Amino acid sequence: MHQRLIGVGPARFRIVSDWESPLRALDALYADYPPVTDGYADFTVRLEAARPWRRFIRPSVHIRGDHMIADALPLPLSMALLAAEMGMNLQMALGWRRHVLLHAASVERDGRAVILSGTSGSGKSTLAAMLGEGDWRLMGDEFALVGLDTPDCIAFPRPVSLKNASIAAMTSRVDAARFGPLIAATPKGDIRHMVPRQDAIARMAAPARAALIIFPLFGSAASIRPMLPAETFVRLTDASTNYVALGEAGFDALTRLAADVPAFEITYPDGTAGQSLVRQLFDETSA
Amino acid sequence: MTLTTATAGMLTGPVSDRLVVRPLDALSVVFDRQSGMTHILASPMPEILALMTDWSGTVSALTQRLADAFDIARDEAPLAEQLAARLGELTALGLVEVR
Repeated sequence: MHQRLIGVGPARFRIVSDWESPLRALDALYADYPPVTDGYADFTVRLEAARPWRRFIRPSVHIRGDHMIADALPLPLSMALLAAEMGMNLQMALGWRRHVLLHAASVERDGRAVILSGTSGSGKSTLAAMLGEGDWRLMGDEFALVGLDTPDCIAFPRPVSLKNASIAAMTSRVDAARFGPLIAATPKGDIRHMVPRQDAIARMAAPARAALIIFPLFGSAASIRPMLPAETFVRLTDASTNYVALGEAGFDALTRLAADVPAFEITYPDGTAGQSLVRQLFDETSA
Repeated sequence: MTLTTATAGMLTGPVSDRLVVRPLDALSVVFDRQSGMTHILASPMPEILALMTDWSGTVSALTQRLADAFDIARDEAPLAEQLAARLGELTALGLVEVR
């Protein structure tokens, strides 16, 4: 049995694996992250052989952990890094209780956070990754953590999970050393992880006040639609993985966020247009 | 919940600390501490719930309360019809009881 401890933002994971190779891939991806030295973890993720002999023959990985979904299919060992990342996401989505967890990317500038909330394919990860290469701090590409008592966003800057066409879009502009291996033909298509910039990792413990909520939709002409608080509330509860589990604390946090923070839906044809819409709304709402 | 059941018996509204009501633009979002469920209500549902808090009585008495609170003539047919429909919905959500 092999294991590692990984800390991302406020969360710590113990990754236990039947094989050493996926852990070496994680070592490379998380080399810039501060080491967890006290042995404490919030969650355990287990990468286990589907059957004992499957450690050696056509090895396939079952993702197990403190929180599991019943019908997750095993992945081939070549996708073990993806399995580890999926396992960590699953623990957060199902188990985190210290903040409202939104399925959203987030970026920060001048102490003010922009929440980019959308489902897979909305382009939020790529948009956040592109902003994070400019004059924004990438706070996370997958989960935005919002305080239960304060409107603070807490960073969860795990390596960005780039999919399909986004991979080429980012490898053309970012140092090759910041990319993990290409994981081809996964159930979600091609995937490659990109380590956030060093400064984003160094500042991951610094919160930022939620100042703007954007629901991006990639693929059509640039447009901006202001959203009223009730619709924002409904969209945020949809985007939250732990809203029901948090009960009244989640209700209080999301009603406050919807009432106090301006929200917009945007559509955009490409990354450059998406970035300029975010910048425009950020400047207009901070005036 | 049919119209007749909602209008026939004694109505009981929620106790005062059961619901957390937050108006958000034209709608109200409501957290039910008893069930843990969140409801989104449009006017006049929040107003009806507010009148029924810590209250129990007949539909006729509630109609009178509504008529007094909102300065409507209680014998206007649309009021009674509207109220019966809204009570049916509030009962289905478990926020109002009919016995």
